[in-house]
Amino acid sequence: MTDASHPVTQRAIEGFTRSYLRTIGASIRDEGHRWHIQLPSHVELDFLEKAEFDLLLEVDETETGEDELALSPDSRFARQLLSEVADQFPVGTITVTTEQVEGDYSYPDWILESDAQVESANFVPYYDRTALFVLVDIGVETVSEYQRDFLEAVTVDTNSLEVLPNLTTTVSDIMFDPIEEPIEPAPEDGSSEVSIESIEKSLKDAQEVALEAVEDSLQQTREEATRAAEVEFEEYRELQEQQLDDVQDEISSLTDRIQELARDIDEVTEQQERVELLQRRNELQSEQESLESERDQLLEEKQNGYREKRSKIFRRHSLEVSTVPVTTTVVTYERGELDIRLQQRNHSESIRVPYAVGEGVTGSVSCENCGEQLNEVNSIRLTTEAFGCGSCQ
Amino acid sequence: MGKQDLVDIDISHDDPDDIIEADSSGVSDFSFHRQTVVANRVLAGQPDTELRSLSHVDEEQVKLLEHQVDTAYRALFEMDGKALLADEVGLGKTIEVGMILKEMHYRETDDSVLILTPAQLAKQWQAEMQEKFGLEFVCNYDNEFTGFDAHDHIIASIDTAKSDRYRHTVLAREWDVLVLDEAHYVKNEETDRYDLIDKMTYDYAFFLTATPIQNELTDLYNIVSLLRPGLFGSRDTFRHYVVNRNQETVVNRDELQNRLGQVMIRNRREDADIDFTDRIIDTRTFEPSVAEMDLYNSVSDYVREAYSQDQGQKLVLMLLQKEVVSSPAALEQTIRMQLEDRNELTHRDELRTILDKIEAIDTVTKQERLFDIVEEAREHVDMGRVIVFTQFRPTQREVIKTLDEQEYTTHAFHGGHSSQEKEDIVERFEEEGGVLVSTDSMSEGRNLQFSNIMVNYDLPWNPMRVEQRIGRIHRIGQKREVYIFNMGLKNTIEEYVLDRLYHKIDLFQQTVGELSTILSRLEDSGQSFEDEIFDRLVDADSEVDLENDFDAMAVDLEEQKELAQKVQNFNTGVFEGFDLGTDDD
Repeated sequence: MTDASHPVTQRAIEGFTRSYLRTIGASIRDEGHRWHIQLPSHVELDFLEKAEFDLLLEVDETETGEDELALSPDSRFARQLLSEVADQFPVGTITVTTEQVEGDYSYPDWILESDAQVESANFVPYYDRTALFVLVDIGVETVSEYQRDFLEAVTVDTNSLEVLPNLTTTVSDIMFDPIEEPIEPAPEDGSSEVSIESIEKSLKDAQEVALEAVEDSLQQTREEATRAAEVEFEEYRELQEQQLDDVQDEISSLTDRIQELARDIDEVTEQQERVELLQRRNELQSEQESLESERDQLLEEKQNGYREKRSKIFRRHSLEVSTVPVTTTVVTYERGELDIRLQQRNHSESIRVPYAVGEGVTGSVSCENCGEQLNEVNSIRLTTEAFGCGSCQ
Repeated sequence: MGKQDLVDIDISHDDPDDIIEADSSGVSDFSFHRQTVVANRVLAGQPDTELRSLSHVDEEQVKLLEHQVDTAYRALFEMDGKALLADEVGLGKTIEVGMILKEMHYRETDDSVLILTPAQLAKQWQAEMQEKFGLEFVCNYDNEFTGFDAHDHIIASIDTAKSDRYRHTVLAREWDVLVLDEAHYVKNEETDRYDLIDKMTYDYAFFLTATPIQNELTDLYNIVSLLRPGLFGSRDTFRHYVVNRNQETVVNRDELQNRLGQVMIRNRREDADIDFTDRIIDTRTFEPSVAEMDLYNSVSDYVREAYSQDQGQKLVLMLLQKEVVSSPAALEQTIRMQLEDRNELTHRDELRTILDKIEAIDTVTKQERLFDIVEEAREHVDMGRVIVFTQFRPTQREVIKTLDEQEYTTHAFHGGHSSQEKEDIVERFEEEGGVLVSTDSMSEGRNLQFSNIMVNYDLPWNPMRVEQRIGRIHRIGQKREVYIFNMGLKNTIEEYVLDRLYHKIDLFQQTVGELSTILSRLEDSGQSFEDEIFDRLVDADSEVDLENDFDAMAVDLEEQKELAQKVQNFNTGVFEGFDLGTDDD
């Protein structure tokens, strides 16, 4: 689980563009801030009709002439090229061997944290395994925040579905540097045939794992969205209560006017006038009733804490999260044992541990002496007799 | 926030149809596949988080410090262009905003920018943006300013913007960028200032203040809510959750820090590694000659009398009062212009009498005593470099003439020169040494660190001007002690301003930036410094009255200074232990 996004710097854009154009066989004549590009006859870019053009570095789009294109993080050429290439070759393969990681073994914490020194190490391969290195795009959408995307890299063994975080880093290092030329992977020997079912299963797992990796950010976004919902609800509540006050005021003003009318009705002697006043009182009474019903409704809503509105607002602010794998690389890697010779003071001993190239020591290792599990805190120790650990010595 | 209170989260795992399809139709060659992986990676990245305009900033004009670059970067890229810049005083918040605006200009996201400042800082902002970053702004005090709908890059006083005359045009526009200096001005949600900012429409906003909290923690709530509505939830939630009852302490400190960190950057002096050299102040007051004193008294009487008859002449009368202590030559020029003016209210006889008194002066005391300083400099300082500041061109001419007669190397610098000429003058001064006599048009961006001696031949009544003069040589990068000589005539307004006001508030020893805090407090209480001085001068019935009046003003100033200091200390206390600034790693 690694954040796979890369800052879109001028250097990154230049590195990617140069590398891609070379891959498709284009010629690049580098004249400092101007690259003259000529595409091979059989290749064309979907978004560009030209086969020959100049890329101008770090200039404004508006400053380019005919057959000139700006190459900068914001330039149209860069965005179009990235978008085109992003969909082109989503599936690939890579083989990770001991030669590729240059014999640079990855030792576990229970050795690194111990007083013992590694004298030598030798990897004994037993069999090849396959894993999927997957880039998973995670989109998060809310009404109060902008749509946000994460890109996570995850590697999952196709057979055991074991997540291999160190192998993710290894593959990333081999593949990812957009500026440097990559180390060429070992030639494909066809041993990495993986069934569609296996791939599907591994991809599903990778999606789950990627989602777990961004859990903290999701939680933060969720809290922010909740706060936005609370503010909206609070505004609604204040408005309703204001309205309730207003209605209450109107009712009391109507009550006053009705009482005044009642007095007038008692005092008036002329029939016609009396009828008019009675009619007026009826109108006001019906207005009062309507307001009272409005008030009752408002009061009821207030008493139940505006539950319905609250849940409506909260529903509207809910988060929609979707994950989708965008690329997958079938990684063939070797598993076997690593024979490590350790030395402490004048003693030296060998130990064999299960090991996967690119990933390191797999599974847990226990102390030969006491059976306690070895880890960062409980590291290995060498005595005159045999291996031990922090717990048993 | 409990889990049960949170909004729902709806998760879907989309089927990777494209991948399955692509896999069925065959895997790609590694070198091609790698390009797709990298393309996805770059596409998912934050769109270019480099300060691309940095290389276009002229390092001769502005030396960018690490914390300033970091702040500009974080405000733009990590806070999505809405940030409260709350550095402690003197760390260069204006520079940080300059960098931000320069970057936005480079990226063409600054079609309309409004900078709102306290009135007395507006022109300074304008000069700094132009000289340090090459950014042109129109200021509401410029003659060419015709309204908030007529220009795209405006610096204005917040009170002008909120006035009935302009408010509707300010609100009618959709601004790309709003900068609000001294943002604690909007701490109170019941004021017109707050209402203006609350109703404005803008995409990006940068608020500046060294003291986000003036009185109580809800000040912070109000300011932050303008930038990021909802960050702290409702006012009641904030009160309930963060503030304890007596308002003086913070509860749930981590949570507050966590949320504030999303919008606020505060650099501390102790972390910013800024080291100013010492300032040595040498104030020299001289007994004026009998003729000079006679002239001074006549002018003062005239000013008092004329003002009592016609207050409309305030500006010119203020000018006369300033000129009489600068030089007879400066005074003479204005008197002659007054005489040529056909105004019925001109008191011709009195003005002619003043002219006669100017004629009667043989020796100008200040000019004579200036030799002492430049001579000392010639003996002790590299190439005898001295910068003499005066407010008036005729004084400048006279000073240069006298120095030339004594065969000193001199250079004149004033607003009448073109930019190129100004460059050349400073360059020659650096190469040849001698005395540079400058008017106050020597502005903010000009770098004169190669010199460390400055003379205030006369003193502006606006303390900001004095600070700007000192800032020409006493700035980041100055490696030597800085000597500031103040020249004043005894028993004149100069002595009052120098002794009773400027020395009382330690003007000459202020930490950079402190003064603007004091002055904005003063302005907030509705007073203008120059008017205050002038009013006291013309209203006093006797010398004793005058002294008492200036003492009272000094007390006011001291109070403002103490209040500003208290507020600063309070903020330091509240934010102590908050990690809102530069990361150490």
